[in-house]
Amino acid sequence: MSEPTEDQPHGVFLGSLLRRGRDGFTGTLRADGAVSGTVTLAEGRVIAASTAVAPGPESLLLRSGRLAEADWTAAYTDAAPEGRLAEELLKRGLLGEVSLQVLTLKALTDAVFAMAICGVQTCVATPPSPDELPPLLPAAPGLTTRALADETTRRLASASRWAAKGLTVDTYLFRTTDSPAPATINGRRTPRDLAFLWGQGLYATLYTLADLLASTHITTSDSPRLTPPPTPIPLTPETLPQRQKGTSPVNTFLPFRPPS
Amino acid sequence: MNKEEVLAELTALRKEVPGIAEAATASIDGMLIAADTDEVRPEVLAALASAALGLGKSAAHEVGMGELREVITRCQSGHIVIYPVGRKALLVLLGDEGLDVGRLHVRSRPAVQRLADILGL
Amino acid sequence: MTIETTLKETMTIEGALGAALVDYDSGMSLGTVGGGRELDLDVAAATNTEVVRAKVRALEALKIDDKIEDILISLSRQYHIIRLINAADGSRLFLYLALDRERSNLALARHTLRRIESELSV
Repeated sequence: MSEPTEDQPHGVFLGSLLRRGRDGFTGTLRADGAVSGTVTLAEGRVIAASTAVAPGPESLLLRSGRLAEADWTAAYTDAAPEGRLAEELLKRGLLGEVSLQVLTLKALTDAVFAMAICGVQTCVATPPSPDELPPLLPAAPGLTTRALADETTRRLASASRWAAKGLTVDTYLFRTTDSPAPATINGRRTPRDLAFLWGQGLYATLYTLADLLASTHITTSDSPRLTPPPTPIPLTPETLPQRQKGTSPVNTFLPFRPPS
Repeated sequence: MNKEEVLAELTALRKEVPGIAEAATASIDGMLIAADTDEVRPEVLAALASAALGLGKSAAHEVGMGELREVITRCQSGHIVIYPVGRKALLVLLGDEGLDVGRLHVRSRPAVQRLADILGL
Repeated sequence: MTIETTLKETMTIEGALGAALVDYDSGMSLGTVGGGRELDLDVAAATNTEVVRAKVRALEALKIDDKIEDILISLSRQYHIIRLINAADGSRLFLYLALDRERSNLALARHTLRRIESELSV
């Protein structure tokens, strides 16, 4: 695949990533634009990436039901402060070594794709600092920036084909009548929202939706479905949660003051 | 006060910040004004938001940390964010776990101001 | 057992030309071994993902309540085997193996792939 250049779309981000890879950079690349995110490198290899538009390893594991919340919390409490969550998940038998590799690679590649497609305007590299929290679940051994850039370019090409059919990261999805598509596609969620809800990568979610769109099980729209104006429900003791008067200790500390 | 305008603000904010699923505006005592919600009961959300905001205000006052900015509750799979709108109303937002809270604050301040203007507060 | 060791083990199959572990939720290859100029495994990963997804959809449309174990593509000089993996963590993966038709034993190759899959699933 050809080298991304600065004047190409996504060129700033991928170009900057490739340059850091060639320099054998260790530290964090902070990307800002329509969304923000970070890419963590170790000796030129990408070991983690994170952004608000793509579910991280924790969301992928918990939301998809691959791991129980209680198991995760226990492992997290024991090991995350010392930065050895990966080892702990393996030790407790919650994840296999291959699963862990798969999970971390999927999460970082998806985050980089999400940042690239949303648009990155600036990239700032900062060397590692002791004040900075290391990534929760780094990929070992991570991806070369070359492999990551190629994969991202491939994904962007598919995404632009889907965009031509009306499917983008922020379109709202509607099910057609009698559609076998999941009911969570309800006209109020975008692919990004569904990715978090399903505990699936953003690209994987777009891919699923593209298949559903191709088989006319769903349609797209730029505007969300609005709920009908709420019918006023009388606020009675039956419709509102109640607590027993006087049971809260708050009154011991904060004497009741009548509203002024 | 124009209810459609309030609703338009809520929908615009939802579109502007990725990860917001539901939004509602209520009077400070918890009576619903307008809601762009789907999976929660807006009246109940309004009432609970009012209570949470009240508790936040009392706590802020007690510890002398100045004016309350917002109340954020973080749960396993999302965030509940409540902003006061003027002195007499509130805005409550439900977001998923991917919600960029920093970005939300930047975007929601102007929205809160516009809501206050629409509501004449 | 890591992705790398899994792929190395796959390559011990007689006649193996190249192998890849592929995430078919996205079409990304998570690791490759072998291949080369005549066989771009990253391209094979993405394009064969389409094959697997189409086949999964076909089974759903036909309302056949069964699972795909593997998909075999026979070329005049090569076999391409796609072995679907039931990962314990719910990931949707397949192992992709290209074999030299003259040097390989298809039954034995499939048997070995089944064993590797069972090791991966735990």
